[in-house]
Amino acid sequence: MDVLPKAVRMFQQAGQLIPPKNDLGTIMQIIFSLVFFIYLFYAQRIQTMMMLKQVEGALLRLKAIRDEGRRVALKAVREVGKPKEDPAPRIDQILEQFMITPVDLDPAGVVWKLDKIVNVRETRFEEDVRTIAPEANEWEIHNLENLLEAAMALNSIYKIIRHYFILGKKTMNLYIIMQVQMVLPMILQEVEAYSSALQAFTQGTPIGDGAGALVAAKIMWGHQWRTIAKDTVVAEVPFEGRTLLVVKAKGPGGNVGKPGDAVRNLIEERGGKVSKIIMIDAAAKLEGEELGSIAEGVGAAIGGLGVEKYKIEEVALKYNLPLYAIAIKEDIKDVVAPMKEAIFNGAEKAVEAVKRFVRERTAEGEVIIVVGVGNTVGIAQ
Amino acid sequence: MSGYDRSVYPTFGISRTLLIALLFIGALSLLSLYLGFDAYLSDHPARASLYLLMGTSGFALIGYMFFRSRSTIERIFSIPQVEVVTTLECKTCGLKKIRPFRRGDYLFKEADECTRCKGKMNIVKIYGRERAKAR
Repeated sequence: MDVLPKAVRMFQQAGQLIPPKNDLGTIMQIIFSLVFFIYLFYAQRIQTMMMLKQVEGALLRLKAIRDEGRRVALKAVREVGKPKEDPAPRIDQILEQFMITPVDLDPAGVVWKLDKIVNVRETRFEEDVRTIAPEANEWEIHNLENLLEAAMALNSIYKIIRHYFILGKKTMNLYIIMQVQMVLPMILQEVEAYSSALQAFTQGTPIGDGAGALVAAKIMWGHQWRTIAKDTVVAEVPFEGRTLLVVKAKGPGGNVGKPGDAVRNLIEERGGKVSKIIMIDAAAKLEGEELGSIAEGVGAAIGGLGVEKYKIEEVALKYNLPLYAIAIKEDIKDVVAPMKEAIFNGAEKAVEAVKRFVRERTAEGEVIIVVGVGNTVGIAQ
Repeated sequence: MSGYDRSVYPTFGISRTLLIALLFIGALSLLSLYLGFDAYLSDHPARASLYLLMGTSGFALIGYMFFRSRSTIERIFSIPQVEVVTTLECKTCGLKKIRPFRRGDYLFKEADECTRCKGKMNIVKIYGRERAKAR
């Protein structure tokens, strides 16, 4: 309760540091008095304004990266697609596209509804890209799709942060601004990652997320492959008396394929005569963990909305197949950035881990499905 | 150019609020220096030292804030770029070659001709090395 008298005493003592015996001393005392009274009544407002300033700085950076995303996408469409009309208005329209997820009040069957919506979105997006880039080949179409998706993500993040910034400025509500300010470091990290994705998808270089696909590609390289599901391929690889059915998205265009459909089709083709499923995917590393290190576990190693994961889990349950997982650790900022050498080396370690797993845990004559999950941009098969 | 909105930083690349604060501190520092020299000439060395210290500290603070603010602006408008390199390996003689990534390169592609045996070289590695590119 005695905070105020204490503060007044402190202020008086501070004021005596420079006694008002001369001009500067008087000025300093006036400034001290002003600062003290302003802080006494406007402390929270000052804190709010400082937070707003921080958010504004981040917003400027977000805007710079968002604009760069649009510029890079536009340039790539013009260069690769050679459209007859100006693609800018169409790109602006694509950047504003959205997807409404199905109602989950009654969750039974919601995954299939989501699958349907995702398929419609993918088809529509592909059609849009083909329209604005008529001269682009299949790989380039996929890369442009990925590039536009990165630009869309940047646009949407920028708009959400701008919304909270303007709302906070209008209401001067500390708690609205505080929420944004607290998550800003994570958001900026994600945005930096997307800005690296712009370079990766423009040039068609492999990205961090492609680590799983790279493992599959290394195992299946030199073997005959065929399409098993939309944008997904499989190769039959003999390995020390076993048969590996290696699945990955069809490269080298930017693609994640349909690993869920591929695994289901493969198992059904063979009447369930498969002994194990091994999935390899990039996984988020915790701070302090080594980039490109690998970890082994069980379960379906696959991210995304969950549709493909659900399909794999369903088919594994139906045919009583064990699911094994190998994760290649990487930071969130590496996921869509051009693949670093440490991740590349991690993929090589994962290939050895798959081979060791097959030797140790399967018998000769068994058939094993190996799924390399991830975006296969810059990775052929 | 994407046309970033730099209009919020019109003068010397720093914000208006910061510029006003710097001008205010500058005026006070100048006054302090004047009083310092005045006190020194009036045979008040202790007071003179205090004023001179305050004045020089004020100008040092202005310099620090000015350069710090400029580096913040540079950071805001810089877009990170990664240098991507391609490693090729000859299928016949095993010669390895590293060169900058070219558009159209992808893993396992038969790309360049081997300089040693004239055989075909395959791309075996494509990876990024980070570097910052200021815009």
